[in-house]
Amino acid sequence: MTSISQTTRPAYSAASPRSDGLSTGFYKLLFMTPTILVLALVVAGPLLYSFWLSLHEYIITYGMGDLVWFENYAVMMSDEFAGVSWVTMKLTVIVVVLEFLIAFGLALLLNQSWLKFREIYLLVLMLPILMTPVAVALMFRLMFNPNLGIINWLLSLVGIPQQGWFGDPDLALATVVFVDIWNETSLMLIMLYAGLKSLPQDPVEAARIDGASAFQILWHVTLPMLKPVILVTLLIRMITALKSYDLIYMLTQGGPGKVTETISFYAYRLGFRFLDIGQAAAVSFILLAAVVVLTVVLLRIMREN
Amino acid sequence: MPRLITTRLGVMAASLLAASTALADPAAVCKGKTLNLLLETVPDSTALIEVAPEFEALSGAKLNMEAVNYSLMHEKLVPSLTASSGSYDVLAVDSYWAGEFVTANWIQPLDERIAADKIDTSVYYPALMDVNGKVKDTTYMLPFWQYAMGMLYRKDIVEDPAFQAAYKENFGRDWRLPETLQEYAEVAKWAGQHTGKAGVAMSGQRADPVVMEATNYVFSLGADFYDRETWEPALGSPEGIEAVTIYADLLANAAQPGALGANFDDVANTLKQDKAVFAISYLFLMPTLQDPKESQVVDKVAFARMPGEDSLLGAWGWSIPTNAANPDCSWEFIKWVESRDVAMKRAMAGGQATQAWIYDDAEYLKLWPQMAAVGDALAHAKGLPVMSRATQLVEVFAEVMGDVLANGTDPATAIANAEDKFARLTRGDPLLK
Repeated sequence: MTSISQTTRPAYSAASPRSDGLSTGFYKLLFMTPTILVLALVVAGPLLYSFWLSLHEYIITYGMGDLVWFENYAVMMSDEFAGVSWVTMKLTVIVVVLEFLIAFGLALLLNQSWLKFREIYLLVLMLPILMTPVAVALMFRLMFNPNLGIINWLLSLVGIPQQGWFGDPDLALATVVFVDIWNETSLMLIMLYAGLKSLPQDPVEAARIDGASAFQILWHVTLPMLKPVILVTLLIRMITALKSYDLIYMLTQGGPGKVTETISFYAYRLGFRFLDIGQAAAVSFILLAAVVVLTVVLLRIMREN
Repeated sequence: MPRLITTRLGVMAASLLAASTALADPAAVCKGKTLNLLLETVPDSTALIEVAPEFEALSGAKLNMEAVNYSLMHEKLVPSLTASSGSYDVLAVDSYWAGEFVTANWIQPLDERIAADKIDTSVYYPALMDVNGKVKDTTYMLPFWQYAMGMLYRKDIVEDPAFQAAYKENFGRDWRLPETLQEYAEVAKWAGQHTGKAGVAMSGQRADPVVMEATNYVFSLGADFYDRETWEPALGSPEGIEAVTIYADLLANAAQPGALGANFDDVANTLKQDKAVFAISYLFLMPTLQDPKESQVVDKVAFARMPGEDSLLGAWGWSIPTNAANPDCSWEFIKWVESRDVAMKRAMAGGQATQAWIYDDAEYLKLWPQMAAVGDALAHAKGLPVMSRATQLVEVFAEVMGDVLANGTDPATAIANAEDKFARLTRGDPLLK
């Protein structure tokens, strides 16, 4: 038989002297140094380098040019940047709101005790997030193909004329939103469902005994308790939506015109099509700043709540 | 019989001798090496992949060929070319990348190698050497395949007497292929209404598809992006504005549904499904239109030169990256792939040959009769300007077209709005001095 002996730990503080004469603080620093160095190399290094690039005129074809300080950031004042910012905002707000409503509804449904085959539904609902956006985009490009696609064929059965979908300026953004919702709702669903499952049931039971209706329980008990999870979910999804790039690249290339061009795709175009690395870096930093500001605001709201 | 055997043995011996002579150089510099190539997913790449084992057997090198969609090629190449040691040993360079690659010093001049090996570059169509062989009188590429553009049309429809009678009734003249861009637009719109199909299959997708197509309209009317003497922007000329206006009109009133989001694959599919009468597109679509496994219009489509003045001429050229690991072996591959036998094999397999003599070969023309139109198409074609930022010229023109087609901006205003961008692209360009 194995016995486990318990020993009493000595009283301990960060400032306690050690037998080797070195402070615990020293050891803390020593053990953390590799991590700090790796983080500096992997995260801070590229960030600083790209910031340095954003201060230069750098077109790859011509090589590194002069230091222009914040001249590349003047792109913020252009109509072009205003246009892509507006598209990004529209896309972000629409997909986050719609995906949240759908995901929350599905999470509530999955959380019902009377639901059978819950694991199967959950598995099916998780499938989209398991697929890469490239595969999703290719699938929907074919489905929405004006001539070959199943969507137009189905519509034709009820007499609706062929639509251009990704090629129609009036429908392109809505079609991208549809694909995004299909692909990304699962992420919100799993987070909200996990949040619901972890809620204590006592307050819900108490409310039910007190005669509260299902809606009252949802509004006055479940939602307030779930608020931190909801905020984190919204925050994560807003950040990823602001950076939308892969679906745009595969579905529309930002077109028709610039109807679906987001800030990320604009930065990509500046960098990889115009080979203007200075401007591309500046736009990326502007986007980074927007994401940081949004994160700080939401974290503050969470803290206050 | 014995005489035939003797003859065959003689031919085999001669072939082996020729092969061993050709083998000497590749094997010496290539044995045990791997050559990485980046190719576009087009019939020429398929044709190359079919004959590639021959080079591996001759040289002892391994060919690692990666064929990707066009839109991915430039962005895969640039990071590789800017690195000190690149991922690719042989490049297929699109004609409008040539200036950029030369200015950035990403590809090697080939003149010394050409002279040392006595390569005859006069076998190529001169227009192709101009558009994608030489930059400022130095040879950087040997033309790999050409993408002549022009008018694809349904010959079964337009040669139908009922169609021609209706045409005469509508236009008051006997049937003829459109001779000007304006006439093309007029006929395409009418043909669409008359047949119940799309008058024209179009590719309005940003950026390369719409630009490659619409540039034909620009060149057809004699307009251009720049005055090629002063390098001042010139698209704002009345002809340039009219070209963009006609393109927008056709896209709105005669094209297949979803044309604004379509690329050239979609144009091919629209034609293959018997859903359009005309298209301004690539001659290299012919093999796929003639494939009975995927096309409903086998032997029903013909190619003619672009109505009006010129069409857009493009080509891909073989080049050696400056950072190639084995440039001598890369050159051996280029020599082999452009040798007469291999060039002919690729052409017979559906490739778009760049060597003029192939289009005079009776056996080739028997297999690909529609390719007889290449000479005429090349004689009335010109390329995008060879400038360091031609890749960006495509992006800026795509923005103009997007502004007109998606936002409904008047063509003159859209072009005027982009004038500063056009001007910035030529500023300080060493190739234009």
